[in-house]
Amino acid sequence: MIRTFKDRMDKGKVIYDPTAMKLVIIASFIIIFAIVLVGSISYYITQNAVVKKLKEQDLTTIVEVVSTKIESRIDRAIETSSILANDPAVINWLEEGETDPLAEKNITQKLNMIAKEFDYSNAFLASSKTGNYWTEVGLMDQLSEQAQNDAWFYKTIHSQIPVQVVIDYNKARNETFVFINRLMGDVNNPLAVVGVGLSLKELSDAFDSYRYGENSKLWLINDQGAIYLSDTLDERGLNINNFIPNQAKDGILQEISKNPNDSHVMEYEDREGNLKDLISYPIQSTKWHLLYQIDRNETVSFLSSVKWNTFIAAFISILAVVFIFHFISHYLANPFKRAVQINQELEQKVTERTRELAEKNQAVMDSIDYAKRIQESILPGKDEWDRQFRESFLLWEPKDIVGGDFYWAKQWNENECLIAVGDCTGHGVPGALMSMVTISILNQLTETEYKRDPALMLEQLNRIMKNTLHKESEDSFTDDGVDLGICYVKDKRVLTFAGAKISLYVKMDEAVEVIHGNRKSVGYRKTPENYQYDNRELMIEENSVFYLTTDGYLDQNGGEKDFSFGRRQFMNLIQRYSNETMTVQKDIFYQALTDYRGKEPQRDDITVLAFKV
Amino acid sequence: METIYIEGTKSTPEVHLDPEKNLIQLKGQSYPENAFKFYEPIFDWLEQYLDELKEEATVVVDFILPYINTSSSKCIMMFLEKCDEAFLAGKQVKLNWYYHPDNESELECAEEFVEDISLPFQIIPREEE
Repeated sequence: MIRTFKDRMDKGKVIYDPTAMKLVIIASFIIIFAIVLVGSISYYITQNAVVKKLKEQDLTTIVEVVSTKIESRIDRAIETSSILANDPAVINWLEEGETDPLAEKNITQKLNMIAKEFDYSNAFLASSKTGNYWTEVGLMDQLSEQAQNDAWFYKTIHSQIPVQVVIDYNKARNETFVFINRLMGDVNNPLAVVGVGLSLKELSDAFDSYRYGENSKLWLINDQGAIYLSDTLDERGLNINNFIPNQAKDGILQEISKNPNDSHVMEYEDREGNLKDLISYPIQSTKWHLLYQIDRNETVSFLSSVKWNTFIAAFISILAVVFIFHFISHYLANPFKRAVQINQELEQKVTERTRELAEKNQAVMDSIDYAKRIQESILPGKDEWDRQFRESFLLWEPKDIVGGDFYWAKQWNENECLIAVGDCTGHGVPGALMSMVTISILNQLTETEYKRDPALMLEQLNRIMKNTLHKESEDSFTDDGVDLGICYVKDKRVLTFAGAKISLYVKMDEAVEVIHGNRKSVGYRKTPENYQYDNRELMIEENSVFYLTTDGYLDQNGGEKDFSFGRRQFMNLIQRYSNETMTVQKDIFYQALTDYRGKEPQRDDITVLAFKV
Repeated sequence: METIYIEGTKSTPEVHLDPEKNLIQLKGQSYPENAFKFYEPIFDWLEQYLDELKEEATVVVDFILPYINTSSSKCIMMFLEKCDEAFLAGKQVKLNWYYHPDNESELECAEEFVEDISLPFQIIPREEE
């Protein structure tokens, strides 16, 4: 998978998405983790189940088998002994004191047969009457009460227990045997003790074959832990605390004493840290118990193959998942890749279009910028402008680079000049076009005799404009024109003002006076063609200051309530600051409006002209 | 005749023209870049509406126009002239111009507009909204 990925990367065709890769890596880890987790958990569950089964079933089954074998062996011996004990011929012979030689021969033969044919190491009769100890080879011994080794006989005779199974070391035979001691006759006053013997060695050999596993141990113990029989012959006579820790021995013996008829399971750890399982199992009809010990490792050794198989299965699963995952993602990722591709293409298109738009916009802006130059070229230059006044300031701020507001002046000799401020319909490019027309007409009019009469200037302007802009047609929706304020100054003593919706503000002495222009704009449809404007004459005093403004300044919204700046505020500014220098006043007027405007955009073109003559 | 409702924007007023209630309402600031484009459909509606208006019905015109730029004011003027024509032809038309008492520009604007019209009007101060 990695190789082909790299190939495609090198060809530059694959779309590498870091997010998708991260997702893939995370998903892979999660899957591997899941598989490992499942594998481990299932292995441990199996292990626990196996151990549980071992303890509860398998161990029991193993010892049970052994126990059954031993029990059946003993049961058979008991049966044989019982038959012997009930044999009338034998009973008779013993009652007679063993005098009959024929009977003696027969019975000896019988004992011999029992021993040989039925696979016992010996068969015996011990008469309580005579004290004779008969075996399959004939009279073997004379029992006496004084003999230590014969104590068993006397104990048995007086025991009143019909059958006993004992382990005994027989001096005469120099072997240890399991004896069945069966009372013949009345248990209270028995005639004899009869029975058979099994060689311990046989059983011991058999034990060895009963064992399961290399390191297991099988013992036949009594309830004190003394070993009667073991898979290793030499252990006989020892106690199990030679082989298992005291704690384990005490534990199992305690269990045995509590419930002698049940099997008990225990586990312990030996000095080397190996875990061992211990099980005790009672031998019915005796006081003995089988004790079986096995290494845990042996019983669960097959689990290691399970472990390896689980591991291999997990590994194969991971490989399979990886393969499937790659296979699927190849087909699913294609649409995804396609989506990413489309996205890239779209982004390219957007970038392309944005660039085109930016270019077009730049072209438009460039053309407006050029228009600005044209507008500026038609407005009075600085030197020419300053010559009209003793002092002045001019705020001229078009809203959009070019505008409909303009300022204009014409001086034709030292003593006479015209000054005007105008506001054409709209702002921006339409306004600028209008301003060009207006200025052009004004320039023309200064070649005529109207130049000394501002009112007449306005009237003429009105007439010409209405004609120029095709105002005759009623249906046309356009209605464009100019608001204008014109001042004619003569000899620096008299100022004549006429206005079309523009007022003249005059500060002489203490008060600010406002001289309103006529209410009709120049050039508009509603203004009659022959409308007459009014002149107003003023005597100019030493410190007279004149202010002309278009509605851009007065109508600028802002302040708390978003109202227009207003005439009243404007006049307040004049009242307060008309004594300042022109430079200072310009700043004040500019700042006052900017502060008032705040975050609001500029609404219209702004023109404020203040001058002293 | 259908009812026309135009939502107000920053630079254009909310317009509500309801022929059933005989109510015309313009509310908001008016300074669109292209005033004629904005007001043209309103004119067309007004023309048809005034033609169809019965003589018994009284149409109420409510203006709440805190600011009107120059090109819009031409349109408003034309609007009022149309209403005036209808009034002079016998239809019942009334004008209510609401202004904010603290805004003198608004009041002045209203006064200027009503100078030339003959239909009955009221200039009424309104509460802050």
